[in-house]
Amino acid sequence: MPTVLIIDDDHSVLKLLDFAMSNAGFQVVLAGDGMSGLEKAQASPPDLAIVDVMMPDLDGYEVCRRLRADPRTANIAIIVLTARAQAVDRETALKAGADDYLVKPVMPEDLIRMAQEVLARPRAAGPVVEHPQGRFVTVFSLRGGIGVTSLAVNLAVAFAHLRKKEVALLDLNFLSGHVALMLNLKAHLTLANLLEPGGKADEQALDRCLVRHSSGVRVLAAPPQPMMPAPDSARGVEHIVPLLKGNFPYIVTDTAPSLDAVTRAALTACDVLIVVVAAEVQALHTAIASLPVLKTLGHADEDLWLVLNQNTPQPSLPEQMVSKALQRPVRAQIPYEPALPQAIQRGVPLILDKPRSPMAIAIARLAYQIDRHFES
Amino acid sequence: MKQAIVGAGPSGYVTVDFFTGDYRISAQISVRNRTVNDILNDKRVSYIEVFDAYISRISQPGYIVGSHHVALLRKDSISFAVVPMEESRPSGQRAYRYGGKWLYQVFCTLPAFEVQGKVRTTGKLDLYAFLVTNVDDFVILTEPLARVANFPDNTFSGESFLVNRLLISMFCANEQPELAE
Repeated sequence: MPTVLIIDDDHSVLKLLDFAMSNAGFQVVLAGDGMSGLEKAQASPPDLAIVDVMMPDLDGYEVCRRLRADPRTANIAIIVLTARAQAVDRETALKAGADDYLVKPVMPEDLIRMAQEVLARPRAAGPVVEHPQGRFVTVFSLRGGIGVTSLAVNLAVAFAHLRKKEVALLDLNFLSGHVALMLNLKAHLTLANLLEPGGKADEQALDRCLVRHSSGVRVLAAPPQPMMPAPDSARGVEHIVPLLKGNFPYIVTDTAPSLDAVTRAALTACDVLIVVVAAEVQALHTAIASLPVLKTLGHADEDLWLVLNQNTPQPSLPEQMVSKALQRPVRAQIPYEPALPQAIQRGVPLILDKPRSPMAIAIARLAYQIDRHFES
Repeated sequence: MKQAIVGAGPSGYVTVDFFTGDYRISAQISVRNRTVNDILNDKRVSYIEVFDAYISRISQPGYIVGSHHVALLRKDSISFAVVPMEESRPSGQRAYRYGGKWLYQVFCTLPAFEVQGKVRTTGKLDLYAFLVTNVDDFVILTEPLARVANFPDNTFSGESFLVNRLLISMFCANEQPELAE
């Protein structure tokens, strides 16, 4: 029977949660403030902690931080439950170490479902292991408009959440890069500035060009106006990759739907290449044609990941057909999400905007799969 | 009947995010048989009593800098409040004033904020009547989004905003309304 520690200064909430979680088969421990919650967690670490944010003396974020900082409680699952409902509150909770976040008022069944889901997630046996060298993940498709940028952006946010560290996100699309737009960021210095002829693309210059997003993603944005990359840009990309690898656990790259020199540099340098295919005839045709080219880049078969993105409500091709046509398994399927256009319009990554949506869950799972792939 | 876990103290309390030019105050207010709209637009009282107030700076809206069990807020310093939809409407005899089938997309500037959203009207939106001769100080915006002018990455949304029209420095509306559902 999993144990859940509920920390909330509101006694009516404690009573309701005690009743709901006990009925759902949890062994419940209650704490009326942050400090006593920490003491109870340290004395007997629970499987899950449900933590309120607005508590006097020690707020819920600080409780999360202290739980994560203590080796005895570092690996317990944490859900933050609060009436503060802004996107920034969710980001703050996740940065503080929470696994998930729910806004009051919440129905007990939703909380129980989330508790079961969070507990089902694989957890590290010890404190999170840092990568000595960052991992370079390139997201690519020769067919445009099938959700490559959207996947790259949300995947980067998922990695930042997973690793609880800043993650780099590169937009290498010189003609029409939309990463900054999707994150509602204004970049004064872009990839074009970093790679301009005669420029010095060192760590300081790179740091100046990386725009910080509140999710923990640092973005190297594409130029705002379409432009042809400078002649040595591909070499510039090859040069900045080791710099990024030394500073970030993950580097995610969004690419243009082309095989120009800059894109090829990212395709060659990456540790995992995600080839996005949509469940439509044209995208499949393009993927069939591009796979032989991608195989010549020297990646092992297990480092070339086929991801099927359902970018329409009713896909015209089933997964089995895609897999058969491309003669390799589909490593992940991203379901269709009707709320995606609104999230893009508002410049909020779907994984933050609708974290419980099937699409967000699928992307989080993909990030986890890739992480495990590197660990193994 | 299933009961939602609300967590706003005893019944009759609502958690509201208040925004002034510099601070975000998440607090509970006692509404009893009224709504937040009624309380903010009650001209007999120039302040509002809140409980369990958690204060953040606008520059770091997720970071709680202080909390207090009880506090008073001056209504005239509140730029806007983020409230649940049912709390944004007036109750009782004032309720009839907020009908209408037309939704106008609007944009306004407040101290430290740019706010966009929709205003519901019965007929053509009269900017003068809305902004100047309106009886209520706090006006309803649905599908709202506020952006901090000096920290444009910091945005706030909610089911509805109650915006202090007396602090609006510029108010703009799209000419063509859309039909409300």
